[in-house]
Amino acid sequence: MDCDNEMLEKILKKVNGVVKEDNEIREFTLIPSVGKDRNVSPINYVWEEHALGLETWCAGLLFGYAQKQIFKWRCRKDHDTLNDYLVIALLINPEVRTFWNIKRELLDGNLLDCSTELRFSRLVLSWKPKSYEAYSYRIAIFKKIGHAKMDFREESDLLDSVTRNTPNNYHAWNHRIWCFENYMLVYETDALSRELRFSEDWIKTHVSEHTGFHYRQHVIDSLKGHKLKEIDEYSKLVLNCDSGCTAQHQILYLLIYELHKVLPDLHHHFPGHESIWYHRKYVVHTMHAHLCQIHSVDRDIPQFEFNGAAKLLDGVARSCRNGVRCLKEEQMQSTNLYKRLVLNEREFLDGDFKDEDVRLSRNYRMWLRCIVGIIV
Amino acid sequence: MATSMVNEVKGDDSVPKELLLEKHVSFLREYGQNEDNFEYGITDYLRMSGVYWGLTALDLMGKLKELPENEIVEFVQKCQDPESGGISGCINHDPHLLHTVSAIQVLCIYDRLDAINVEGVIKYVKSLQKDDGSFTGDKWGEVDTRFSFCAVLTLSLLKRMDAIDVDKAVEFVESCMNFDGGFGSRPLSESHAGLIYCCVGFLSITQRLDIIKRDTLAWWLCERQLPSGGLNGRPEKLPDVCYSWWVLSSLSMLGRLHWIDFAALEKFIVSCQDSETGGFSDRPGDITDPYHTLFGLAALSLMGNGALKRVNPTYCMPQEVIDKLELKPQILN
Ligand SMILES: [Zn+2]
Repeated sequence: MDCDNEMLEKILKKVNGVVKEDNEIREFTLIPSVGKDRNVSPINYVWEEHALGLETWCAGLLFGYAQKQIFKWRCRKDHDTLNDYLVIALLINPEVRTFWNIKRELLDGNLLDCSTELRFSRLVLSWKPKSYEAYSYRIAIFKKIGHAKMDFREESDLLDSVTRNTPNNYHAWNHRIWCFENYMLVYETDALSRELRFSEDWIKTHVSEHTGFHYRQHVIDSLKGHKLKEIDEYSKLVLNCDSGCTAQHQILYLLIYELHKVLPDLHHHFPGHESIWYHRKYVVHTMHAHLCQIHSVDRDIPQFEFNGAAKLLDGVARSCRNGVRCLKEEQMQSTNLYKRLVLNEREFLDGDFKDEDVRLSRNYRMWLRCIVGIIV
Repeated sequence: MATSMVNEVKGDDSVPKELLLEKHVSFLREYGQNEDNFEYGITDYLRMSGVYWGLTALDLMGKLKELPENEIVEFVQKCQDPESGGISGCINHDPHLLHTVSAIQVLCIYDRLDAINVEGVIKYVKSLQKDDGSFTGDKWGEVDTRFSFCAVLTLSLLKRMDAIDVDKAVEFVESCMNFDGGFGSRPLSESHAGLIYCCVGFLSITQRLDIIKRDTLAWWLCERQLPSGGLNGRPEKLPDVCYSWWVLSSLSMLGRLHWIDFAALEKFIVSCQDSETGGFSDRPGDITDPYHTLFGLAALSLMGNGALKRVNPTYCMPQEVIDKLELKPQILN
């Protein structure tokens, strides 16, 4: 098969036909075609699986051709033709920002259908799940239709399949955080409890993926500003709390739950995983910082009569936030919760570690002393 | 469930042990000459950054003259958008901050800033700052800490930091700091070595490294070194040559370079060379590219390799260029 422009146009039309007609199209891929016969069609479409493949031997030519046409057609009025070229070029290389920008221009002019575009960007993500541009484009669409109109089931389904197939996918998890902040917390009533459950299941089944742990940490952090209905259930599961633990400090219940239920389980079943140790650092650091904060409200900070006073106050506020040291440290250290925390870490570190965990536990002990200021 | 040890890369006897400078020079000189290369054919949208990677790498090896200066300067000129003032990755493409910064770095290395409309660039960068101090990469507007870094990198090279609200910009970067001392791409995002480099670099240029939790962050950074000597960018990920640069340069700005085992890292980086084609790849045995070649060489330079020019950790440009511009990015002792 000779690859002249006529032939490329034919391939282009066929691919676009599939993308337009198959409403459930779910998968695109480039098929390596080393030693393949170039006399057969480079398009491989399996309708039953809603999957479309394109042989690499023609992908480079097709991309170069589509790119030329895009720049030629950009300023003209025939938007459909332009979009056909954009579809091909972006399927082959979704990192070309300029092509997404042209789509944004068309979107802004109401010349593209938002749901078709969501489907298209999902198709791109099926093939390049780490495409920063594809996630950005989805967010642009949600901004256009209004966040409230987001179909979170669809979004969650997309993220599930993407994160299952690509470990530690930074952009995908950032996208979930975006959905959590802009949709779930705003329009759903049970988002917090659902995401707490979801992330707990996730980290237990993906123990080497720090990115998932980070997501859970973010959900837990959100308890500072949002009431969790099930907080009593969590508190029943954990130790009796310090008397300072009011509803305002519900995050403490979750941190204790993490320390007593989640972490021991993870350490036991999955030895040698750095991500679990990092999660432990998060829990202890956050707990320590929270305790520090409770015991260092501004009015308690003594006023000093010298020039450096303002600086000193800054320094105090800053170091408290850092959880390193604060003026009220002694008072904080006398609370039951703090004593229990230290005791807990001491007993934990005195346990029996093997292989990689020997090194990781040694690092953790040093980190506790040098960074948090807890000597165990 | 496999243990974290599967994430390690074992060097074998066939990997290079010496620095192959001549090979890298010809690799960079010839890169892109073979138009049949599929990867090259579909990536011209980032040609401007490619020019910066190749040119800086060659300059660090003392071979700046290997590339045609006038042709490159002309290319940069053609990529400036007369309307917005921004610079694109390639002719016909839209301007973007990522390519604007690369273009300015290239022109500074050549001392040819006069070739473009500098006021236009300043106007462009200024137009991308939002009310909260953050920067978008172009007019379509996603926020990312990378763009904050690109903005101040560009403006400081042009000596026009006054064009933006620096205090607000610092405030935004500070809001991206995590409990582990690291930074992500936006507030609430996971710490990531590449973005940490951007944020530390940003604070180095704005002389605000004081807001960093220095030892907390340095601790996290030096834990990126794996038993193979290589550095990864996040916990339990594979080592990668480009992270050698991002982690190392951040530690250098924080004055904690000595927390890394140089000998082990050097061995890893050198093993990522391709002794036939030249160039560095992300890991031993992979395909080499100009991007990893620059960051491999820059990391070696930062560790004091005498065969290379000294690199500046903040700008990832030869120190002599930074000195000539009389720039003094903050470095902690
Ligand atoms: Zn890399």
